[in-house]
Amino acid sequence: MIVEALSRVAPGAIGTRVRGRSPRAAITRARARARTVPRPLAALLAVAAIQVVAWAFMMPPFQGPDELAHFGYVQHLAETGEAPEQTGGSGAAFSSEQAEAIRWENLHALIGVLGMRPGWTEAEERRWHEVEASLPNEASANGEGPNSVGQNPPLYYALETIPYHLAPGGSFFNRFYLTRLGSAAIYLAAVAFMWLIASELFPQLWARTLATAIVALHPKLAMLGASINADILLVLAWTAFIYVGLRIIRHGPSVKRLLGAGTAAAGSVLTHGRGLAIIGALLVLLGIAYLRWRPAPWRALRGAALSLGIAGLGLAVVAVFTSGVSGGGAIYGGEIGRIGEKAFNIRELLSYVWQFYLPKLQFMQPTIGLQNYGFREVYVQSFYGDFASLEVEFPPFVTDLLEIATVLLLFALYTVAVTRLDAVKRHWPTVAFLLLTGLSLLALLHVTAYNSMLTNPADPLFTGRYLLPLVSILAIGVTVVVMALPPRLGALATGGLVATGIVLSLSGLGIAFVRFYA
Amino acid sequence: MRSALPSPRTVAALGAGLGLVIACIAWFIPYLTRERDDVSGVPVPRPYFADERVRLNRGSEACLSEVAFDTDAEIVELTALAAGRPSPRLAVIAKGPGYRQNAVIEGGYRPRSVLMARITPPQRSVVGTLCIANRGKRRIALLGTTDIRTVIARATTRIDGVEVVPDVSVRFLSTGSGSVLERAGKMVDRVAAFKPGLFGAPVFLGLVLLLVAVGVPAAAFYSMLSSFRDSD
Repeated sequence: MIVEALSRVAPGAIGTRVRGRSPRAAITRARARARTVPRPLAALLAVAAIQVVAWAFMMPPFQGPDELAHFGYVQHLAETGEAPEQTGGSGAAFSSEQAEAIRWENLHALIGVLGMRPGWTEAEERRWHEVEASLPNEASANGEGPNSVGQNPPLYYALETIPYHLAPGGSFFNRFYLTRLGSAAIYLAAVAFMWLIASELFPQLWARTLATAIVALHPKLAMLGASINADILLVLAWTAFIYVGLRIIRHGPSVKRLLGAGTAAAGSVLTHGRGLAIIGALLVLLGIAYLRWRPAPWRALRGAALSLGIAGLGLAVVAVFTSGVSGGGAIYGGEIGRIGEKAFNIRELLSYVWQFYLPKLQFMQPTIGLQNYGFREVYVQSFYGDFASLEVEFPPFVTDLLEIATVLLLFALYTVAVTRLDAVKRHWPTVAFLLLTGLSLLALLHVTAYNSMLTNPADPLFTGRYLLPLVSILAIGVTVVVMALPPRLGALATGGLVATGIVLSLSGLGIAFVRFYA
Repeated sequence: MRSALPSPRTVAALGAGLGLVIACIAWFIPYLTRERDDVSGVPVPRPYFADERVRLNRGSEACLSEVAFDTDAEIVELTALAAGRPSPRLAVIAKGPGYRQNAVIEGGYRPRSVLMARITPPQRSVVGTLCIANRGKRRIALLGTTDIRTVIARATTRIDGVEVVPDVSVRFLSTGSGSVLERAGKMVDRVAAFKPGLFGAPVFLGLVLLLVAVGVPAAAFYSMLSSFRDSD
């Protein structure tokens, strides 16, 4: 199916292609295969690749969200085979090699501080080369912790050790940039999966293209793809999961598809604590698939066992891995489901969630945590913008326009649902799956944020990039609204949306370029 | 019979083209052509949370070590938070291997004023020391930082040879301001610093920038138009 969806040639034609064994035949075959990629997808992958490479090289090292700690984890795992400790260790949050690189490029004070600039003089670079040449071998391997992301499961970091080791020449910055490009590859895979999702849902090529363009031109996602940060693997795991989930719901729960759903879920829980929300989405998927396809009981049990078994295996690995991590032996080092000193209060939680999205009602107490932090800050400002370590912002008028567009989208979706109730009813499994998958992540994010604020009300622990695993659902929503418009108005909206994506992408990169180098 | 209305493909192209033209006129061109300070380097940034005072008694000298002087560092910028009246004259000394510059900031400035000293930049960038000496009769408090976000810059401050906790906030400027477009080449050279091999080649980075500016809009346009063409 994947080949079919990624191809503009009929599957039969691919199957009957001559299979040579010589290298020349292999090259010919690869070229022929490349030519079968639909032109819009190829162009959008090129768009995504250019953006992510630009971010990878224009954003100075360690300026992505928490990139200091994430790279420290990758390096320690690559050099020693062990993850750094979350709270223990030797007192070195990262290796002395990383510390010297940071010192000579003046990168630490650069994080989040707009008035700072990185080191860029030849003299500093010369001094760094002298220092780098004098460092002993163990200087790469002594970042034992405490590392603030040490509680994360190792999947993303283990994958990143591959580009780390592939870096030629042994230079620190070679390893760093190759590791960033490793993230970029994961990002491109997520864009390709978006095309698969769109191909599953939309018969029209332009609609598939629009949905994929929304993801490929999402400025924050491209920046995240260029950063060393486990969140990008979470985006891929969720996008792949949504694709496999749609296949199950629309075509039935085959063994291969159930294995795929379980694998994507395992990938999510093995990537980050926030990935745990996918277990809820998997249960929803299995429930909807059962109601939709009514398989024989033993088949249903076998299917559930397959998917849940693989996801459970992932959880077991996480439990074993995090048993040695501080956090009272709790899973993910206690980050997820952390209970503060103040007792969990369901009324307070509901009040917080209400005030996150809507104005406070008269009878409500002021929300826990920051009073002016909610929908706009998370769903708009830091979802589309707030690049680098959140300090590179779009101008307020852009955030205002994006907020208006987001609210309009919600109203438009509601209107489409009401006016096409029959279609919604007909496609209820798909609609329910997408809605409940989104809610599963949102519920976990809110409960975790609330728990965290019981201990530290100043840190809402909820930012826009945490929503990026659901970016494919946003793209589907936008495309559904555009498809409901009259054809020419829909085409105009498509053009406007693509232009908006281009403008946001170029602006994000441009503002970051000026912030760091002007 | 052919429809008099334009095809969806044409309408989409018009919508996207119009959107881009509006963005270029209203945002991109003003943003890229606006005059800006040309920052040559920032040894220690301004504080992130709260201003701190670095007090210099008469005759005292504050020196920042491991400061990089680039070949366009023509102005040393400091901030005076408070000073006795009359506010004292300050001597600014920039020194490194094969490089030494002296400059003076005359007294008489008001509290919370930005002070600027002109220096001649080195022929080749150097890592050295920047000293500020109080040559007046009154004490002065310069803007400094102790907060965790900014005090971690490489430079450390010593007053009369003794390391102090607040670092003096200082930055270097180039006299030529100019817009981002005018300085694009210089900025690409800055991006190239600390990047090994191909990644640090200005040609490669310039090509990436060109692809961003031209390739992203072109490829996105192409994807959209080809999808409508294939649908037509």
